[in-house]
Amino acid sequence: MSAGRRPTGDELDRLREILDAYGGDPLRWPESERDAALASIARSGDARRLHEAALHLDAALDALPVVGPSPGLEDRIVAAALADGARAPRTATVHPIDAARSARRAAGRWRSGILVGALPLAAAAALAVWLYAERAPEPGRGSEVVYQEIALADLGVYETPGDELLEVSVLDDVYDTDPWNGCADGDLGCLQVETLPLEPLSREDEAQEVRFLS
Amino acid sequence: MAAVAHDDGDAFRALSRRYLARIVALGSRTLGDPVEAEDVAQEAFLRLWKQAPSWRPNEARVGTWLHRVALNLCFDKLARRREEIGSEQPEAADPGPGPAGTAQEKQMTDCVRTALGGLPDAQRSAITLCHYQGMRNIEAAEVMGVSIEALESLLARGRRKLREELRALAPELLGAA
Repeated sequence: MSAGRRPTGDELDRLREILDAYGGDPLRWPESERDAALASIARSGDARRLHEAALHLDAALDALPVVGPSPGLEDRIVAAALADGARAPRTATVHPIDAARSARRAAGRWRSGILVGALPLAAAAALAVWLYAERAPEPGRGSEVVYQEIALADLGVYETPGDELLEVSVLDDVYDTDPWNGCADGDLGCLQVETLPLEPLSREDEAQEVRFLS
Repeated sequence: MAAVAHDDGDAFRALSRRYLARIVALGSRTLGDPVEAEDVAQEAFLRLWKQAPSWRPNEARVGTWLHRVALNLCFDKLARRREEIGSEQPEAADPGPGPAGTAQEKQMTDCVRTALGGLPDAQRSAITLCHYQGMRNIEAAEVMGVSIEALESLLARGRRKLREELRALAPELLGAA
């Protein structure tokens, strides 16, 4: 706008829109339109009246006091976050070889029940992952994997004998070297497994293992 | 966020300290209830804690992300309220005029609270984000998941409605003699 020129009808219309939307504080206006809007106000009585009305509404809005957090809220939030189970693990560290060893020690009596116990639980786990993913709100982008991980964590700690079967159902020798049968894709919901080196068996364990395998 | 992702409680506390007041204020102005606002804030921060290990720094800023989550939680609460009490507008909890408040100030704040509470959720949220939270239009639009033009429209309609309401309730607030 040239110096001294009154704002056009279009410029006044746009100023009205800016004031209607963002109020009277120029710092809240779109930066690219700020100078032109200020120039309109400087050169037009109508524009100044619009601006004053917007400032009055701003002042009325500012009459509402700010409500701050109550004392202790920050502590409660931090404590809740740090509490066990608040965060889903990114990766699950398991010890397949050790698990296999300990399971072999106690095996035999329930080996035939593995599939009976494992299949319904695996189905329940898959259903839980699906349900969780379906109902999860959208907190941000790229959160699907996180929600699947949370869902897996929400399945809880296996404490019943039947649940224990899931953990040790990977006892066949093939799983000693490939515990998750090739599934290490987090996007598919598979846990990433850190395989630890095989520790040497004690003489007693070795004798027990030989007895079991023979 | 990198430290928070590695279970650093001090870093999480620092993050909470930085944003908690703003998130509580957002919840309080959106819900009109400081107690529910704290519930929303707590849930939003816990989600941030859970999300931290998978945080992708180039996709969202922490403040924007928290506002978006908190606003969605507020909308959930408002929807549940409406389900519980039908279409009747709930009466906002009164946090009081503050320690230095007078009866006249309380009356004024009541008018503003009533006028704000009478706005549709989206218009009230747009005003809350831009006026009270001091967000730029691009950031507020991102939080609400709308275009800048849509945000501007929500703001303008909301403020016009507020002006009409306040003109009826308390014209002195708008500078009327």
